[in-house]
Amino acid sequence: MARKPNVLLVDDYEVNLDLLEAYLELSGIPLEIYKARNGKEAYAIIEQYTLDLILLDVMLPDTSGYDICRWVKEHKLYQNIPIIMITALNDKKDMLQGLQAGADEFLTKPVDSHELILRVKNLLKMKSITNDLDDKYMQLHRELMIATELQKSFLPHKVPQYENVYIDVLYKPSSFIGGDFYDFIKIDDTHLGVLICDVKGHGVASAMITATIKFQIYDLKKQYLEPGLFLEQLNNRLEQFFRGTENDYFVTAFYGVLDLEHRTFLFSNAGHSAPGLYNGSSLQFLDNDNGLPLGILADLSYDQKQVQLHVGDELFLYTDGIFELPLRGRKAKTCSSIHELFDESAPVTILQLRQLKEEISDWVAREQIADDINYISIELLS
Amino acid sequence: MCQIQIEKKENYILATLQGEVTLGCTAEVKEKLKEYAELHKQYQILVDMKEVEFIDSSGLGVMVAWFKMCNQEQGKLIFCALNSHVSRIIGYAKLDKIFNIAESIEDGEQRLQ
Repeated sequence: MARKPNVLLVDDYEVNLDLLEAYLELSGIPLEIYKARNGKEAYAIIEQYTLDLILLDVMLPDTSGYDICRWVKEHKLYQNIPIIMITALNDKKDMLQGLQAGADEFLTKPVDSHELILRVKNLLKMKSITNDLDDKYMQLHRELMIATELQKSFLPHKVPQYENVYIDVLYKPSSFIGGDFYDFIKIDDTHLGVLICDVKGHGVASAMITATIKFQIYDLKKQYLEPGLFLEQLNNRLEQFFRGTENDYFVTAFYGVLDLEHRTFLFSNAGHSAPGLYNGSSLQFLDNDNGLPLGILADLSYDQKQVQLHVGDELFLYTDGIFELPLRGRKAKTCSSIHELFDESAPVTILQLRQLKEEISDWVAREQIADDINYISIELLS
Repeated sequence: MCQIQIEKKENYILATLQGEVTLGCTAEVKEKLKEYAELHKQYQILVDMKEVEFIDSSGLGVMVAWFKMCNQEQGKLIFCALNSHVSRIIGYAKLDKIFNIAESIEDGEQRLQ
């Protein structure tokens, strides 16, 4: 502790307060001492100062020491403040009640000065360790926040606008850094590249992997129009990057190129959940013989496939975070692909797809989800 | 929550994985098997997955980590007795293309021979 520890003494007898203060001063420990004569004063001081220790008498005029103790130990901000309860000599009942209220130590009246000083020293030492841990936690917390901000900056700042295409994106990272990432690449006036991926793993490592992917994308210009080759190159580069690391990183990715002039969609898949395509009559899946996730083995090839699109069609790309939600009346975590959400015997209507999207955004607006939630829908307008 | 139990057999390691293999418990189980394999220099490994109820992407990460470890050490890793949910998840991620998967422990043992 860089500063002097702050100690609060609570007793309704002035004489007792003076005595405790005198003992503590005699001990030579540099302390800042605060005194409270009743519960009201005690609560005010606890809220006003950053305390490191409380010496608490049981009998107070307006409340009991147990109540103050319980309040402190149940309060998120104050629960780490150690408390020594001062009880009548050998009153076992008092002691049990104090323990129940969460007291850390006990002293019996009349207070022995040596015992007092030893207990105070021990608890202050413990508090100083807790304070250090808190500081380190706060520092890590701040750094994680920076990484979270950094990761957000890699995402597209706005959704591309076209006359005859409507693109809608929902992206909600889990409390901290998550691993979902997407990007739009305006290749030329008529070709739009869409990448959606899920970096397996969380925390700072996944933010760094996201950054790597973002930079690799710039470097893969020659492959923008060839999804298979694009993923092949990205896989080799990520595999190289992951070599010599903790081993368990990999990335599922889906990359497709929308040709706005000919209304085609050419795509390739690296272990990512197959996107849906509403083709005017039902929901299909963009299933090709998809390849392994990126970054596990080098020198793999990825097939690509093309579908013809029509006015009114809608593409639905997503990451598997949505299956953490209880969608369409199903229990959370029971599905692992979007087609499992629907009754296969009947064609899925565009209305059902819209309802699904609404359901996802409602959940996301209401609750904090453990995994990232991300979907992109692309609708072809006339 | 998930847990792992590890036993040394005559010429392989049998690891039994149980519970929900999701973020929060994966780091510990991953390291346990890695450390055990390194300690015994044994990279012939059967993983009994019969009691794995649910697996998410970080659970897949654990499987990939073990796979890479055994590959690097020229060993053999076989995942045994997967329930239908776990096989589906592995299938969607196309990891069934590279993982060795056996119907049962006995089947896995035979494949190690």
